[in-house]
Amino acid sequence: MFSKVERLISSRNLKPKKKEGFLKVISTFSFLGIMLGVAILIIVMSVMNGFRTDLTNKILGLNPHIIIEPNGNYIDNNFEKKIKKKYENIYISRTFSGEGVVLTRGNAKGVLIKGANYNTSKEFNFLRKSITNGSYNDFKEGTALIGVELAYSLGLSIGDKINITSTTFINTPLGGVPKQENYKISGIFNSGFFEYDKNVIFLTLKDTMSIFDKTEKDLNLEIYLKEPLKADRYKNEIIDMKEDFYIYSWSDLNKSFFSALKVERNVMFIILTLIIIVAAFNIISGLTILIKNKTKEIAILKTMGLTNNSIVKSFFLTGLTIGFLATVTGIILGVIFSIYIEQIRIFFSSVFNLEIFPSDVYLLDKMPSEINFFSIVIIFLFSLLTTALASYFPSKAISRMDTTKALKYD
Amino acid sequence: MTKNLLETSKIKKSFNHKNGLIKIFDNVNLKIKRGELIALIGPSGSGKSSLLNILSLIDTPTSGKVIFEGKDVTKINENEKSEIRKRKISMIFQGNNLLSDFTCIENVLMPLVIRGEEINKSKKKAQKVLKDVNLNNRHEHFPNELSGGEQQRVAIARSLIAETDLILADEPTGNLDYKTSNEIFSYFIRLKKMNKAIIFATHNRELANKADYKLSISEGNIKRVNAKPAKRI
Repeated sequence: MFSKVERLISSRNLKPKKKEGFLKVISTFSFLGIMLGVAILIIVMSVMNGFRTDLTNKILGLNPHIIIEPNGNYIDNNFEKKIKKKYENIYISRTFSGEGVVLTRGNAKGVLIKGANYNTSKEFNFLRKSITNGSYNDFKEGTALIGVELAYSLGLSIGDKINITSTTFINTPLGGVPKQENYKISGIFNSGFFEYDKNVIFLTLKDTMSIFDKTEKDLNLEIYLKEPLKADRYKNEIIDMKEDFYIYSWSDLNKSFFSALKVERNVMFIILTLIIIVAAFNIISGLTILIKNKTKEIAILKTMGLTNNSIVKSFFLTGLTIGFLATVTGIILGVIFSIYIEQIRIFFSSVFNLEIFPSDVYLLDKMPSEINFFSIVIIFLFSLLTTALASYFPSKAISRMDTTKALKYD
Repeated sequence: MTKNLLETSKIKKSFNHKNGLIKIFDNVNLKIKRGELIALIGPSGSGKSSLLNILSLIDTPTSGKVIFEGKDVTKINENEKSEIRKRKISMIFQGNNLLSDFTCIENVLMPLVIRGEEINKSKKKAQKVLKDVNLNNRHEHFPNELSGGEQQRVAIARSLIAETDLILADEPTGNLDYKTSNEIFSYFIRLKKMNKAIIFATHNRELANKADYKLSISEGNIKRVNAKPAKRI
C-alpha cells in the first residue's frame, strides 16, 4: 500500500527538527486531542453500557421475560408442554397480576398486585435478595411484600395491616362492590427502582387469585429465559406457534425507557465524537504547515522522479500515523480507565473528600462500566476515518503544487 | 552519426503577467549528445533556469517539442515524465538542493530508493559513491552540517549513483569560492568521461570556457558559442 520511499519520507516528517517547534506543538496537540477524545468516548460508552446492563438486570430480575396472557382463551397444559419441549433452558410459571388500591390509616394508593408463587424460588431470587426489612420466609398467605417507597409514603412497617381493594366487583344485597381483603406486611423490599418500589405489591398466588376472583384458566404464563436479551426472538417464535394469545416481552414493557437510554447514548456518542473531529483539525493545520515548510524538498523529490501520488501518500501517511497511534493509545487508556473506574472513583472521592456518583441518588452501589468490543471497533474506525480525511485534504494539495515555483521557495 | 540524447524543436516559452505577455525565449532548437559538457550562459533573468526546467520535464514549453531519446515527451503525462526523470535525468541546483531531513548518505541513496531498490543495498552503493567524492567521513551528517562545497558534492554523488544520462545543473557553483568551484567542475569532467551529457547554467566565464561549447541565452534567443565565431542556432 505504501512503498519504501513513502514510508521513509513519512517517518522523517514525524520527527520535526528544532526549528519546527511550532509544528511539534501542533502535532502533539493533535495526538493528545485524538487520544483523549477516543479515551473519553470509550469511558462514557462503557459507563452507559454498564448503566444500561445494570438497569436491564434489575428489570429482568423484577419482571418475567415473556408474558403470555390468555386473551379470553385458555392456555392449556399442552401449550405449556409444547413450549417446554421446544426450549429446554427456560422456566415457566403460571401467575396473575392486576391493579388495585391500598388503603391504610386514611391514605390510599393505586398499586399493581402481583401474584407470587413462593414455592418456586427461581422467579423470586431477585426479590429475596432485595428484601431489606422483614424476612422472605414469613411471606405466606394473608401477608404481603411491599416496596420501600410505598412503605415510606404510607407510613407502613413490618407487621402493619393493609387493606387492598381489587378491580373485581362482587355482588352484595346492596349492589356490586369492589372485592377487598386485609393483609399483614411480612417484608419490605428495595429493588433500587423508585417506580417499582412505590407501585408494586406482592401477594401469594392463591391470595391474588382470590382477590381478583380468578381461576386457573385465567392465569398468565410467565417465561424466564437463560438469555433474556434474546426475549424478542423467543417471543416471535412463540407467536408463530399460537397466535390466539396476547404475548409480549420485557422489552415491550420497557420500550420507552430503553428508547430514551438509546437516544441518550447516541446523542452522547455524537457530542463526544466532536472532540475527535476538533482534534483532527489540528492534523489539517499541522500537515498544511508541514507541507508549506517542505515545499522545496517536495520539489527536489519531484525532480528525482518521485510521482505526485507518492508524495501525496507519504504526507497522508504522516497524518494517518499520528491519528492511528493516538487512536490506539486512546483505546488503551479508555479501556484501562473503564476497567478500574470504580477504584478511580473511590480514589478521587477520598482525595477530594467528595462523594462522586452517590449510590442513594443513582441507586447503584458502584460506578457501572461494561466495555463493549463492538463500540470500541466503531470508535476506532470512526477515529481512523476522521484522521484519514483530515490527512487526505492537505496532502492532496501537493499534487496542485507548481514544481518550478516550489524550487524557488525558501 | 551519434544519436541525439535530447532535442528541442522550435520551443517557445512565455508567461502571462498582469503587465502583459512576457516572452522568455522563442524558437529554441537544441541537439544534445551523450558525452557533451555544455555551459548555459546569459544574464540573470534571461531564462536559463526556465530552459533547464523544460529540459528536465518539470515545466512544459508554450509551444514546440522536447524529444528525449527520439521520443516526443512534450505531451506525455506527469507519471511518464516522472519515470523519465527517475531513470534518465538528474538535477543539481545552486544551493539548498538536498533534503534537509535526511542525512548525507540518505540524500545520495534517495534516487535508488525512489526506483524501489533495497535500502541496505543502496546504502552500500552510496558509501562507495561518497568515497569517490571525498565525503567518506560525512555519511551521517545532515545538510545543514555541511559546507556549500560539500553539499554540492553530495548533489553530484546523487547524480553519480543515479547513473542518469543527462545531468542538468542550475548555477551549481554560484555560492562557492574559486577553488571549490573548480573542484565541482572536475566532477563534471568525470561525468563527461562516463559519457553523460551535462548542461550547466553559470555566470562563471572561466568554467564556461572549459565546456565543449556554450549556449548563450539573451533576449529570448539562444546562440551556440564556441572557439569558433558565434553561430546562431
